[in-house]
Amino acid sequence: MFVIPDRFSYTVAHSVEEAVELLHTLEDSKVLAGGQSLIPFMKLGYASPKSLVDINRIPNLDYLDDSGESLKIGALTRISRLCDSELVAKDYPLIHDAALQIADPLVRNLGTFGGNVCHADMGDDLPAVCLAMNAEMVASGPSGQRVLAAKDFFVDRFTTLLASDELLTEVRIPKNRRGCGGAYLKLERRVGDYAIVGVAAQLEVDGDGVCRSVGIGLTSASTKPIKASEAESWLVGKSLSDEVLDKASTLAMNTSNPLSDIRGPAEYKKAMVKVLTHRALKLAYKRARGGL
Amino acid sequence: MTEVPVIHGMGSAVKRKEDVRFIQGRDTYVDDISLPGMVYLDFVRSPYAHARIRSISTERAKGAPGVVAVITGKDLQPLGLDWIPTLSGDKMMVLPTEKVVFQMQEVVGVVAESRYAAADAVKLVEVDYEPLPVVTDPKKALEEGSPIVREDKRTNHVFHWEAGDREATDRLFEQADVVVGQDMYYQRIHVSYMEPCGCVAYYDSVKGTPTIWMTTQAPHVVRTVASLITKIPENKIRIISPDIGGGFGGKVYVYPGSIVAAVASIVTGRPVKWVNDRSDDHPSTAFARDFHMRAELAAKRDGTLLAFRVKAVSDHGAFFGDANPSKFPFGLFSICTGSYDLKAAFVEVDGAYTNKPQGGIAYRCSFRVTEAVYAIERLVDIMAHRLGIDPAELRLKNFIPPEKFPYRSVMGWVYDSGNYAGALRKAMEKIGYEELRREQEEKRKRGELMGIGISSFTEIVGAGPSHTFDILGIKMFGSAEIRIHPTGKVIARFGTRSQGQGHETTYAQIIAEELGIPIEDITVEEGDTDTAPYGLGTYASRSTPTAGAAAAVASRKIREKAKKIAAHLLEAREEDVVWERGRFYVKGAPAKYKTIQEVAFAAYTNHPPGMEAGLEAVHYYDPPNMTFPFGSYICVVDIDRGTGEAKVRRFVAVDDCGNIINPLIVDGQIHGGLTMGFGTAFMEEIGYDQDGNIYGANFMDYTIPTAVETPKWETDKTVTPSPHHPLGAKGVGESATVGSPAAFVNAVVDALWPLGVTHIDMPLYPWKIRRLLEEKGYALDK
Amino acid sequence: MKFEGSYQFPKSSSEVYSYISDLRRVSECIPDLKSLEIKSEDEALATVRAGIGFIRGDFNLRFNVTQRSPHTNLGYAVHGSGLGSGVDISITVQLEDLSTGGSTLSWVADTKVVGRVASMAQGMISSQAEKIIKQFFECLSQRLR
Ligand SMILES: Cc1cc2nc3c(=O)[nH]c(=O)nc-3n(C[C@H](O)[C@H](O)[C@H](O)COP(=O)(O)OP(=O)(O)OC[C@H]3O[C@@H](n4cnc5c(N)ncnc54)[C@H](O)[C@@H]3O)c2cc1C
Repeated sequence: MFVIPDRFSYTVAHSVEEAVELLHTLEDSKVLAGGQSLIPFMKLGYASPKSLVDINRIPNLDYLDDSGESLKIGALTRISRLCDSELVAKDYPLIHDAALQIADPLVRNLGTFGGNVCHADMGDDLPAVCLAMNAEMVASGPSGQRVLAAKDFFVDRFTTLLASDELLTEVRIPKNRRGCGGAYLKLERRVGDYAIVGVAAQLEVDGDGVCRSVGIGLTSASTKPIKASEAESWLVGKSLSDEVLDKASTLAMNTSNPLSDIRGPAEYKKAMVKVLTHRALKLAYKRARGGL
Repeated sequence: MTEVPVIHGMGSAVKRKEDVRFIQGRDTYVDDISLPGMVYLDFVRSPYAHARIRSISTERAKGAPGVVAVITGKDLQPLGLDWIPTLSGDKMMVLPTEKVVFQMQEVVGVVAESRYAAADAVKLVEVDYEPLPVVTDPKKALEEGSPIVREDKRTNHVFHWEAGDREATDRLFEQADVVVGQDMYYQRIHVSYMEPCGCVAYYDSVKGTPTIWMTTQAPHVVRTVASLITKIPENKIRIISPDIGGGFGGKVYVYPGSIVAAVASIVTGRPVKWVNDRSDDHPSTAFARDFHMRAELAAKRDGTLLAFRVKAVSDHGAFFGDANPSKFPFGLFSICTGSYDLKAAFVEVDGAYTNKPQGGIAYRCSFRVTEAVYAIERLVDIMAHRLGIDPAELRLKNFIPPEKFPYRSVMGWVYDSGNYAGALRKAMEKIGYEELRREQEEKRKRGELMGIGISSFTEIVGAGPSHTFDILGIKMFGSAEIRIHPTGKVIARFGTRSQGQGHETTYAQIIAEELGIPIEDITVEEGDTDTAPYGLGTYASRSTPTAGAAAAVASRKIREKAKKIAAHLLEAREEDVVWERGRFYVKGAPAKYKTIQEVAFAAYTNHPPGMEAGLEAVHYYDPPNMTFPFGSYICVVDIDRGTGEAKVRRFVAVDDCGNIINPLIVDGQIHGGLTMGFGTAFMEEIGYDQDGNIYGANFMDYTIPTAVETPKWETDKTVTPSPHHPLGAKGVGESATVGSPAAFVNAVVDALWPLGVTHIDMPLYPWKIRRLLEEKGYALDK
Repeated sequence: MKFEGSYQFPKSSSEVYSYISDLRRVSECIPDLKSLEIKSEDEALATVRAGIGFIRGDFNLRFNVTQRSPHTNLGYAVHGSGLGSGVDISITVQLEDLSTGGSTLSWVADTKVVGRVASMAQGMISSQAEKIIKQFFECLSQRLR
């Protein structure tokens, strides 16, 4: 049983409009970005789309732009670019932490920001980052553009709000200000593996160390990427003492509903949501206090 | 005197000759072989672990584009090839006719013009299965009423094997002050070689000659067995084992793919290539270990170890296919008294069939020394903790002392040489053992968990002496055939097969040492049954002890003849000719000499009257005994009380494999072996659910360590030559894989012992450690 | 994996029985049905497109009614393959009249999924199987109201 995909057609799109048009007209179509999730799934026979629309040759979809209100990340931005970017390393430690822990250099050189969030598996790391940072997802479809909130975007495992003829073009991340800090902690069986559990924490604290806003996203803590909303609301307005963090991480744990699988039993993963949330918040806080 | 050329003989850390082509991608693996008109074989594999085959419909597949043949078990039946014998006297299914017995078993072979056409057509074969109850636990398999795996047997019981003296052992246990016991499971793992199994089979119908290029560690055995089964004369069968990308025992075995490819070549008249994808290979080829044991150790209160006993069940999957020597159905497990001077020991093992692929076959010692070393080294540690004696001290107290060698163990093995305390002391010094124990003490007070684990293993390798060792009756000698060309260059051929061990360099160094010819001038060849001398191949660390010895002896035979020629050339009496590496000179007149190259030339141009021309020798070496490499490993771990992760902080390995031929290669073997042992201890496991679904079927699910998590290995050595090996060398290929797992587990248990933890089964997943921490109220939530 | 559930209906057990023992009507409740062929009173062949997100494949399934005990018991067996996996589900249904009128239906489904997908995506398969079986009974119960 050689691991070879079923037959499919392959078309290259040269613009966002063309891609949308192709997705709309071709039968059972799928976007091909870095191919680091889609191709393995096709080879293993999990998925057999009839048509692939390659978006790699669409110009100007690969960018990091913080000149405006938010940090704009083009959907085709390779994960390796996030790792190498000084801007990301300096101003967006949460994204940087996460990017560096995704897969291995070869996969990161091809895998894209857009592909990682659109694949929307429970083990993909960037959805949790988007959830923690309250990102906005910009999509283009036959009826034009729409902007979706990250918290609504992840519907189920492998399922987002995007229609089959919609293309994600950009992800917008609120700009980090003074007093902001973030961290991504990932527990893995081995480097390059999907998370046993991952926690993305993004904090903004005032001069007294009181939490003004916070975002917590969880990887592999449920069948889909989830946001620890209760922990978030509990933290706002509080000083981040150890007890406060304890309570927040317990709330995050209670939000989680992980699967038992080869990466560990559900009880362990739940406990790890707690441990990692505590540690991630602590690190995020340290970074927030250290200034940007 | 002219300058002596650098020859890179014994002890030279020269870089491996073969690496030049490996690094440049100029090697030839089976998948690199392409013949005109070649077609491709792919398999329909069973999703069921146990099911009756109601029907197989191949019509649609046969009609698919590019398909040239479809082969089922029914097609093999008339040829007597639906089952073939295994090396353990059992038989194994090639393709099923009645039922499938493990998940991913080959069911139907589809041959097509391309890999893609074959893969597409595989999906068109319709197999109607009737699921049968599944048994994947060997203990359950041996219970009354279990589903029976094998239609041709009435039971799942494969064998019962005992070694040692039951009564003497039991008596000592009764008299002992302290007895410790532990149930342990040595999990099923896969060898995970880089190159999956495959072959190219070509049957030349005019000459009636099948030629098979295959990933095999033992090409001659394959040829003989193939001839015996098919009645094709052995001289017509040619097995070629080209470059092999790792074997570790997994390629001793012959897989259905090779048999079906050979038949398909006869049917189609065309060369047939079969190469497993990783996702095919990983769940269906031979596995290692899968061994449930209860081990017990008896001692006096003062720490004198008395006796050891083990009762075990081994899981062999659906076929008993171990490549064990005939007299040892459970390999060399009886080495389980290890490095200790015990008074008695007894082991009994029952083998079981289950709905899994063959277990216990491969992996850097599946002569079961791995399991044996794990058992004794774990139990010695448990005993030390129970008695409150430092684990190092308990070992030092009970080691077989150097003066007792050669040492006859209570199991009957005669250990050739050893200095166990020497190796352990060196390791302790290197790692700063006393200091670490002090640090541990302080950390414990602060609630931090740190552990130190020791493993002082003794290996048994180099099978083996003809009085005890054979496979299918064939004695386990080592063979070498060395021929010197007129210009003094050498071709040397061996009955072994390197899979990455560096034979092309090691053997060349042995010959260089013995004949004074630089290694660049020596070509080493293995793996082609038409050219290489007969041999049983490479596994179980046997190449240096057997074929390496044969190289030395054959070289010495050549030297004897060369000496006669030199005497002739020097016009001296043979007795007056003296050998100095690379040259012969007349006693008392070293300026008057002939180089080995000059002598070689004369062997073809000017040999003494009455002497045969040429300069070559063959030697089949029958080792008088096994060799017993040993070593002491010390591991330090720190445990995260939140996540349960155990991080290896340091690992010191002191190995002793006798005289070293190439230190670089030996170090490489140890680094690789330790990394594999680390993988076994911390992350590798092939599991099955109750329906027989395999977990860990590919490299996404099955994790093997990368350079990132692999600890920094600190290696060192002691040298205790083997008294019986011509070079004083011992095998080393398996030492580290055999010896290291116990060190890791001992370290983690050492950290947790004060909490009341006595054992954790491998792999030491963080979730297992966390669960124990929770149970003992020691887990942290941050 | 075993899943189970139960429903209450205003209808009597014999009415429920006559509905759910009719393979043709029952088949209508098979989720994501692509094609259906009724071979006999006791056997139907169905192709179902099942999966999660874009992980979807056609499953060719044989439906058999394995046990008929009017008003009280019914057994179905589903056997087939898809996505490189084998699927076997044995379902037993028990009916009981209620003293208050109407009846209860309780079902137990014993599900076995074997093969590549099952072994690589453990959690995913069981949660999907559960979802599909529940959908099936949910649909039946809707129709029986
Ligand atoms: C060995 C290995 C290890 C990995 N480990 C990790 C890990 O630890 N953490 C992790 O997060 N990821 C991991 N990945 C996944 C990797 O990061 C992928 O690159 C990423 O998930 C998908 O990105 P891609 O660009 O390759 O997307 P593709 O594979 O091309 O596409 C993935 C899915 O998204 C859709 N899609 C892609 N782009 C768009 C778009 N612009 N608009 C709409 N739909 C789109 C595709 O149709 C497809 O359904 C691993 C992958 C491999 C092979």
